[in-house]
Amino acid sequence: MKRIISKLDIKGPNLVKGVNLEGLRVLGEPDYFAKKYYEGFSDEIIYHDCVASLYDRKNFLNLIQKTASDVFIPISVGGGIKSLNDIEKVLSAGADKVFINSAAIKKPYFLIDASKRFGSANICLSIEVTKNSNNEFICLSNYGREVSKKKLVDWLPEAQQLGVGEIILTSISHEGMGNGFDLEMIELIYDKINVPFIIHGGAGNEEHIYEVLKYEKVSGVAISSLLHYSLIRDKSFKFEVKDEGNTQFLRFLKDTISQKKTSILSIKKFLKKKGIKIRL
Amino acid sequence: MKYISIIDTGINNLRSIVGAINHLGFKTIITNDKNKIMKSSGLILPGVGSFPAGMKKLKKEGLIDTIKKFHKENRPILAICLGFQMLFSSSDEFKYTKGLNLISGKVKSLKSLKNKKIVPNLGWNTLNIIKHKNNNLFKKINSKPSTYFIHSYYAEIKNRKQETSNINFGGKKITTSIQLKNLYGVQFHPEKSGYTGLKIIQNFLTYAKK
Repeated sequence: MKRIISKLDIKGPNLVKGVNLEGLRVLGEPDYFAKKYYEGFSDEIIYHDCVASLYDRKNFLNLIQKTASDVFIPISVGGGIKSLNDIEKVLSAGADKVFINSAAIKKPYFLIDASKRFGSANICLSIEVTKNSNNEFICLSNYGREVSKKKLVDWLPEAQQLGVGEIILTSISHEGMGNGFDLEMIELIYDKINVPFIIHGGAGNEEHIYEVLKYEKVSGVAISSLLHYSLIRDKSFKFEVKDEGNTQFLRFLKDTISQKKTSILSIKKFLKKKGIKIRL
Repeated sequence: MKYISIIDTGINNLRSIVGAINHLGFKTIITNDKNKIMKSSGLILPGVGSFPAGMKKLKKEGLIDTIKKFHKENRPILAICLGFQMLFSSSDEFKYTKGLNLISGKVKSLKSLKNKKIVPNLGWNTLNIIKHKNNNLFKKINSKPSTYFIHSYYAEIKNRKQETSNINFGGKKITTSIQLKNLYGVQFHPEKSGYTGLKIIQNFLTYAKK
């Protein structure tokens, strides 16, 4: 059964969203969105702390606790996870899985330690890639801020061997664009995939999601903009803007969104009609 | 005061199971205290991690006999994920380890099935519910519900009559829940399975009321 996952990027107290992981706009309170997506048949929630260490970590842990108490679907959490202690904190706050990117690139053995201690099914790897001038997919760390030496084609099989339970792969150039997923990137590594595999970056409509879920080994998609920009245009949407970060968009510009409004439920109905196995 | 006891088996995400039970109007305590457990109206045996570590913890806390006694008195127990697996006779995870042996059967690696399915089995699966008027956990639930799984081992049950649901895992029918009198066990996570999961927990709680 394929999963439709709502991905929420968190900065301080706010849910934010950018384009290519940049130009973050404040959209509202993360917990409000998580609850709406849970009620709307999302299969999973991802919280990604996109500035991790820059802010007080306590706020983020409180957010996980609050969400886990009344959102009864799996919650995956990532961003700034550097130690076994970090993982333990996040899991005991109520996360079901953690995903690790930068710390694993720096020290791949961290994945072995983490899997041994917490069970590999609970340890996921996040890979964020961009193309370099040689047209190769290169992995980035620190929420797309730093280029590493790892190539996607090498890192993916290496990490699988170290014992991760799941991989979420983001194409930075497609992220926030709404023009469809990076199929070239998927084709490149498809034969190497042997753990549950989630694709992120590019969902702009139902057809895009269908295109990528047709691949047997793609177990799910993570969606941000498409869901958030639909929800904030909903009549029921209420948010008291906290004066922190870029709230201009939410105050004045949300009518400029050109994407079609949709919901998890209508995405799922569309996929079911197309023959994709989905929870409804 | 009526409450549901949840056994603390170590590194555990108990937030959602507590949240779900509270949401359904029941008080909870997380405890390994035998007296408190024996006074509760229902018992939850959760569990994340490996089988040997889980059994070691139960042994260390001296809870094996407590759980057996609770069951013998025919009081309601719900065992989840690793908790479900620990109900069985033994497991092969890492090394041979004896379980609680309340249900006859062995816990084996999903990889040993050698089919094309990716292990761990992670995500939502559609359950085949065994139709039986006394299938208590699945009362008033639509006939093909989906629930959330995350596991690399499965329980091979000896007596199929104790099975209340299963899934098809690459051609092999895997037991996903059991019932023996007032003892219930589920391989999936009802506290992570949306409205269906809440309904399953609610069904369990009706037996804790009595």
